[in-house]
Amino acid sequence: MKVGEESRPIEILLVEDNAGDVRLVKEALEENKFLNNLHMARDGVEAMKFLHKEGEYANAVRPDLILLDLNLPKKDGREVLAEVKVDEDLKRIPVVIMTISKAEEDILKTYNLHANCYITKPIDLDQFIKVVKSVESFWLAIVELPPR
Amino acid sequence: MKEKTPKELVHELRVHQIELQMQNEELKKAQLALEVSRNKYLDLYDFAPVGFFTFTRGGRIAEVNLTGAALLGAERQELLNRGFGHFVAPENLEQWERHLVSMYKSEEKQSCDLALKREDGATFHARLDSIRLALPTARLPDGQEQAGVSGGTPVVRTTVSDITDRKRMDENIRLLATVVRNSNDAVTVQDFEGRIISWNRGAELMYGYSEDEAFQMTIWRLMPASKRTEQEQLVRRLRAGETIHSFETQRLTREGRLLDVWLTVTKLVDDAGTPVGIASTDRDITERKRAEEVLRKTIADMDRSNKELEQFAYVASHDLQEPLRMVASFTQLLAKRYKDKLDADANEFIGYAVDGANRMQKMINDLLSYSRVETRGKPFEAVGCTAILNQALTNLRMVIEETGAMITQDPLPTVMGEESQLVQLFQNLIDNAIKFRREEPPRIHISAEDRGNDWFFSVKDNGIGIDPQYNERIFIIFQRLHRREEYPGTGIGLTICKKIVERHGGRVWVDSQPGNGSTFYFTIPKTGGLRL
Repeated sequence: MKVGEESRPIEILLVEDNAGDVRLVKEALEENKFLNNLHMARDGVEAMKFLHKEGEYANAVRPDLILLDLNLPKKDGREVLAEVKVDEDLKRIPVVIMTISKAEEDILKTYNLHANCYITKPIDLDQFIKVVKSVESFWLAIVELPPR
Repeated sequence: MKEKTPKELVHELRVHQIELQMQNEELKKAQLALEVSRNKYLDLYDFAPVGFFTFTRGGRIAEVNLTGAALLGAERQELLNRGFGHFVAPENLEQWERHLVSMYKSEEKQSCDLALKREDGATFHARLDSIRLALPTARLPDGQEQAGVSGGTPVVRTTVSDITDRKRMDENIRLLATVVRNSNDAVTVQDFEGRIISWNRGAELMYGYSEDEAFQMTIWRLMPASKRTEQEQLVRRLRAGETIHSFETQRLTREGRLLDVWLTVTKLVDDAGTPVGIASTDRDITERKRAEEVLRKTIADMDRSNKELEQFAYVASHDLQEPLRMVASFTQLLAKRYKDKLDADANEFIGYAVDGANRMQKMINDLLSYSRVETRGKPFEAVGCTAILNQALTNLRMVIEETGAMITQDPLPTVMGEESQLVQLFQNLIDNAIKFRREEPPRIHISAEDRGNDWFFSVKDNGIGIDPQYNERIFIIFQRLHRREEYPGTGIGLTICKKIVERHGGRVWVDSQPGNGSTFYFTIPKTGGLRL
């Protein structure tokens, strides 16, 4: 079942501390044809609360896709990734790492933690928008995902 | 007196005859015994383990046993009546003559050592012991009078023994003693109670006790309290027959200074195999240990500084680029969103801002690559430069095809280095050679020469060349000789080449004239560069 084919909007969790980046992702997603709900977590702790529906996130929805930055306050992206991928309930959610880092050890480490893909944010705006759109359409329109 | 009757006479004669016969028997027996004894003596004489000689006063050989003849490598018969001086090495002739004179003068045993020359020319060392016999005359066992010994002339017998082996051994012992005496290591011998039996100069210098002082003390005085148990165990184990070779420990000098020493110990046994003591060779390694410690610290410092550099590089790659991205992205977003509301100037400004951000990002990435030549360096291994060059050419395939570059190469050696870095080195140099080309298609030749300790590489092109005044400057980070519009790039390529060559222990330089092409040279030591 491809989520984008349904009338229900796609639920995306963006874990990103930089307001500028949040805005850029929003801009990019707005250009796409998919109906989406973008949920925000500004650090790793918030992200885990959201995923576990804790506290103020008691009514949070289960995301179809997680866009995860690596360098985050409190709990960084690697820790979030590790926790998601060992959680029986959460581990099937695709996690796309979006980071500025091209460091080999970051790439290697996140794949070892079962990241679904690793993307370096392009510095050029048009490139960036293209990448975000591609990510969205690949994971939401091309890939067959497990049932929710 | 009454005449004896014939019968009586016959009887008497018979009795005499019998007596004579009996005497004759006795004589025969005695002669036989004498002969047996003479043979015994002759055997003893001939086969004695030393040479027996009798010399005339003039030094001729009057008599010699078989051993003596064998020593000189000649038949006995050939030796008789020959001058013994013939067999004495020229440098010892005078000594021999003196010995010859003195052997007749004194009743004391006379000795001298001579180098003797055998009949076949080989020399050996001999000890001569001569003694004048008390007998006024002498007869040889076969009854002849001894030649040259007549009347009241005294008889002198000389034994000659081959002492070559002993002399060699003595020489060896002397050499070894010299080595031990002058060794910088402390060489000592102690009994099992620790009393010092031998103490060389090295021990005097190392521990500060003179030989005399050492003989008055025990080895325990050198033992720091912390090493007493170790020493007790050592003595116990050695006495029990264990072999202990070398180990590191500590010793105290007379001034109370603590030395780190490397000890080699040997158990000494007497002829019967009973353990009698311990020989110990002690090397002062205090300085070496200190140097090792300094080296260890330096390496630790370097590791730490490398890690810090790595951390810095990571910060540069990640944290510095984040704000840069914001500048670039939002300037672009501004341009996109408000395109119609902005004038030409505004668009130009936005263009510069985006270009600046892009260039800065490139430079940050270049700096990162530069720092990683050291921090990400892998251990060296033997790598074939032909394969390396081919890899570099593969990476450059697009630009080679676009420009129609002709690249030729001589046979290239195998060097000690890091493959990926050497690929980058060749790639950067060839990329430059193509980039700074003239109108005509680039021609590039790569060669290598054996220069003894180094391999000497060259990359020669037919490009625009470089004014020699910039020969140094081109290797400095972010230094460029051309405007960006003419030739793109941040100016990192040659800087990274230099860093790679230097990491491999070599040198890189350029020889060029404007308009005449350039040749870049670099060396790579055959041993590989310094690696920590």
